[in-house]
Amino acid sequence: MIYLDSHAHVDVVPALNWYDSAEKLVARMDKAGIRMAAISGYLNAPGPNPEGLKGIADAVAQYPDRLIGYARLDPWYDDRCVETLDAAVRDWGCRGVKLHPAHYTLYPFGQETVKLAHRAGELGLPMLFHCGDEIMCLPYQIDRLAEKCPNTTIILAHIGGFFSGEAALDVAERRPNVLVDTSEIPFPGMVRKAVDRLGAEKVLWGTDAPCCDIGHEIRKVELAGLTAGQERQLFCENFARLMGIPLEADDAGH
Amino acid sequence: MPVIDAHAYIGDSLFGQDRTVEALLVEMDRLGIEKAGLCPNKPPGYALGPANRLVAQAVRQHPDRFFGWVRVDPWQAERALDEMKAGFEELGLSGLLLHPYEELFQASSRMLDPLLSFAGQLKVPVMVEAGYALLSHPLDIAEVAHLHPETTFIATHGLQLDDAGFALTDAELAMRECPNIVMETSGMYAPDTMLNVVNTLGLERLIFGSHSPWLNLEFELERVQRMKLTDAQIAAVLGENLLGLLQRKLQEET
Repeated sequence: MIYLDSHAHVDVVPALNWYDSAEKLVARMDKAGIRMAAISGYLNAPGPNPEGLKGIADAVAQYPDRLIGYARLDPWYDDRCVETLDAAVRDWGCRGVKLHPAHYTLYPFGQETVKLAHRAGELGLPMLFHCGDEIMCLPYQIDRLAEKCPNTTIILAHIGGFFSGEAALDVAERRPNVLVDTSEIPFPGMVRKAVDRLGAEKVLWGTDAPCCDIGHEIRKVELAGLTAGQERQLFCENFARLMGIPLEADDAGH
Repeated sequence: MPVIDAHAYIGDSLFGQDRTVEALLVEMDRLGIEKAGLCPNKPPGYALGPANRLVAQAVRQHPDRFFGWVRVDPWQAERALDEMKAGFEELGLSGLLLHPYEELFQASSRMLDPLLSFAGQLKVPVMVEAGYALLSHPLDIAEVAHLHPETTFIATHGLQLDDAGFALTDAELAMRECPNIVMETSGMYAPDTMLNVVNTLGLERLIFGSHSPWLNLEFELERVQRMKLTDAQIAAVLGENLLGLLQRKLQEET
């Protein structure tokens, strides 16, 4: 099986007690047999760390065949945030957007985020939302953004978290542009429910590594009772399609 | 050393988490789990007394496979205290279970004082369902642990259910401040935090529990088995440490 991780992190932020270097992540990917991972940082740009996006770019430059950079952004900066996204794509090679609205405290459906989402859609970039049990990150809040920006692919991470899973599935079911990812939550049964309700093509496998154990994140899907074909969709085919990553026929286990 | 799941619910459930004793035994046998701590589900009729007696009956029928937790609703005040005493003295149960989310109270509430003092006097552990937003944050657990240094608290879910990861630092803070808190592993997605507990605070501060059937027993067992610990350390987390906590009632039976 080829494993493409749609949700991982590289950043070192002592103030938050997180020390996750590119070397640490790739070492764990190597051990678990992961081919590629999409990475974002822990701080938003523009923001307290002007070097943040450069750090993502440096990590991708260090491991160009293994890592895909997402720009973690703060829509509070409005036009400057959109300019930052353009620069992230142009100068740093970012291929997706990561948003954690509780971290910057904006409504996901507010005009600042809508503007950014429209731009991401124009650039063909997916927007990965931290989606869980916090105000500003709730599925029905992000739903309003998805309705306003139908041409932007929106990913609800963690299938809505510990308590908002059903809401996340509601949103992903009714919005053609909304996907979910399996990272972090301890619910193999919810992975199965997501596949049953949405179709396997709308469920991405992600790990939230290196915080979470990559092998255990694989086991979550293996315990979900999916067909071999559905597992392939989650582990590699869906993210390969989203990112335009070529897969050999043999790669996907065919 | 036996594998012991500290945290397995049985009985009819108000919240759709029904499980029979027989079904649990089948699953334990399949996974090589010798013993489990039975937690009474909150039944559709809301009455915890009969649920406690169902647990006690299962323990009497299978003393080699089960021990039991007595569950009370602290809002019942004197009646809760009486039910807890009956649980220990008449039903032969081994610890107190508090569920702030399903009984809707704050884990730091002073109304818990009589229960916690009595448990401390008897030297029986108190298992607290931890991590529910606004009810049992890690620092709520720390607050009562400071107030009741003679009482041992088992805080479930690694003390938190925060998929953003911010509460991991609070969990470590509570564990550092309060030597009378033991971390339980169910749903705890951050193995590095658990390793920090073992390596810096002591191996005896981490125990295995599943919180099944809400969580998947097999997935939760593998969570511990996958940790970067020695075989002896894993054996301690999977059973030995809990035996130490339950020594008054369980070690004599094992």
